[in-house]
Amino acid sequence: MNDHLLIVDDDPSLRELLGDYLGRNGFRVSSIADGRGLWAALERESVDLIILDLMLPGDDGLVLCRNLRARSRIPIIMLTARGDDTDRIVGLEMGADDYLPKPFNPRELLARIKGVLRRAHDPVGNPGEAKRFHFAGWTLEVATRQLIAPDRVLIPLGASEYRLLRIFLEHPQRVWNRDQLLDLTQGREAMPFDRSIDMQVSRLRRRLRDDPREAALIKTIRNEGYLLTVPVHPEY
Amino acid sequence: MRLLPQSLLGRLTLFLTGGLIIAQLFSAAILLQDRDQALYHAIGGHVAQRIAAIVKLLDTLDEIERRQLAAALDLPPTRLSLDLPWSDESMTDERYQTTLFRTLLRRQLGSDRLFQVEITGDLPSPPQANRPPWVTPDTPAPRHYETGRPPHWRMHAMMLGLRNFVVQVRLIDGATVTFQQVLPEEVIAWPARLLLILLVLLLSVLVLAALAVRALTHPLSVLADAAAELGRDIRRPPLAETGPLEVQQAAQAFNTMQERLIRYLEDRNRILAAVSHDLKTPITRLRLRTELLDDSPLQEKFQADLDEMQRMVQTSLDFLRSGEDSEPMARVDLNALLDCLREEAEDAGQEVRIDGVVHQPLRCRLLALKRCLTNLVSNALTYGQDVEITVADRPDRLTLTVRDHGPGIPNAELERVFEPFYRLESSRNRDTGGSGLGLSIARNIAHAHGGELILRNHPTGGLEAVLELPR
Repeated sequence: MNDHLLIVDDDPSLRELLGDYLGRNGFRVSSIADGRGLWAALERESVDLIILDLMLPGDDGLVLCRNLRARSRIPIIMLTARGDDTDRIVGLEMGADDYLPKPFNPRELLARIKGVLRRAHDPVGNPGEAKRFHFAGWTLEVATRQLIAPDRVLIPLGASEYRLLRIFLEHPQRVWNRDQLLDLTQGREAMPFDRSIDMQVSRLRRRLRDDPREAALIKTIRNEGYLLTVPVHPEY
Repeated sequence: MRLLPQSLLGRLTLFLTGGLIIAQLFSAAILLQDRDQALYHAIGGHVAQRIAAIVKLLDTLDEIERRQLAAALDLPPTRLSLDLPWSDESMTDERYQTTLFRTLLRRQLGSDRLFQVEITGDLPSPPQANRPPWVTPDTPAPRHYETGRPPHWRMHAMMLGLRNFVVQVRLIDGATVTFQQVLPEEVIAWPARLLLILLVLLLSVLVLAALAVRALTHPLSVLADAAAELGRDIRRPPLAETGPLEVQQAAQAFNTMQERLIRYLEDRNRILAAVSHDLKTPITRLRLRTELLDDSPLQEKFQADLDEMQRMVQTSLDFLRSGEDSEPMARVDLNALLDCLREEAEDAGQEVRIDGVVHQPLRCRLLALKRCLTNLVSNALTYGQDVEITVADRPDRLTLTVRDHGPGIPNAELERVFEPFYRLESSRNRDTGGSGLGLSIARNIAHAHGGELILRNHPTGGLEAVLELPR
């Protein structure tokens, strides 16, 4: 059975084009212009995902998003023409599952819809992406890829440092060997005597102010790999 | 060589004191001349009276009585002698003092009396045969009359006129009586009190003028500072509208100008924002329409055009937002930020070297500062490969220098490239895909942090972008 998407946007031709495009890609699509028709539409038939424009006449997308979250767990993807980082963060805070700034690439929207639906259909009841992780006084902000130290200093992470830390944070207290880490961070196998993971770990330790000789956060397990030793509290 | 002082304070002080001194000199000269004439009237009249009385008395006496009287009356400052021969006037003395004194004497002595007057300010000291006998080397001459008197004496005599009267009168029996009257020193002396008054006046006017000029020029320098600051920070606090009326008006005009400039910039930004923002929905629609096209080469061309349009819209909005402070300030580990930049360059297959470390976290807006540095680094990588970032961390400020080894840019263009949408010819031709906003955005961010961003050509080649941030 096709998933049913509901588009809430005040631009009629965009609604039509979006409906056309998503329809071609195998979705059942209905659309409304603003928040007034939203509740009626939800009662009429079941909706699997809502594509919600941020700027709407009457109640704006943020208000609708908050009200929706108070009632149901229907996945929401926010669209906005604003698109600075604060909007994105506020949107995610209001309970949207994903966020896409206009003008977006339609294929990217398609990918996001599929991703959000996959998580929603997960029988394990995956709560979705964590917004941030707390560990040992540190916080990793997912949206901005920033690390906040216990003394509130902001530390921006490079892409590889971020990916590596995510792996440790999502699976704390598990030993990872170099091959696994290399595969997960760079999608390739380790060459003989490949030290690049060791360099990345040492960089990450420096960011976390972890002394490599007496590592408190990321420990080296001789002949096995690395281990994040502290408990992690994800926040959704 | 410039004789005029450069500052307004210096010039005004110079003009005021110069003018004052010249005016003082003129008025002193006039005053002294007046005083001189008044003295002659007073003292000259008195002397003429005295001479006339003595002459009338001598007329009635015989030779022996005359000598006794002459001896009794021969006392400074009036000397008289009966022994000197009549000496003819060598030339007619038409000086004011002489004429005046001659008139006074004629009035006292009667019109038929024969007399002659000689007035000198400059008593010659070599003794001469026809000189009065008391002016000889063996009689003590009055003070200051010695040869080799100080040079100021000449000016003294010139300014104060003549003080030495020699009068010869024929008595009724044909004898000659010679008077010499030396005006007392204190009458002729430099009018010290007058000079003191003038000096006090000059000094107090000088001090007052300096104060007044300073009070006048201070608002000017405040205005100049404000105008210079306006270039960096259009939203600087307005000038205080206080002080004298003209200063208040200037401050008001300045503040009004600032308000208008802000309004103008806001209008401009609003228009650019509105246009950019409103373009987003049509671009989104076009993207969807493109996806619905069946012709895939055409689809790709459409998409490339749309990508370019989207990038232009996005950088315009970034530029407009770059001066805002929507992001909160936080202490940031800049070493980590620099490492991020290096890693991003590495991922694109390019090399950035970092020289030096930041010692302390810096209070800043992380995303904005990252955008600023990213723009500088990507410019450097585009125009001159092999980029290095030098860190100089001082207690009061942090300096980050991004240097490339490219061709640099002409010195005349170093400032212009910061103007929005300004692009160098070489940049246009090379189709490097720049928006013409990268440096404007970077500088706006630097200014929003209270810092400064400049470009300069390195002496050994290549371009340097110097970002200074206050701590």
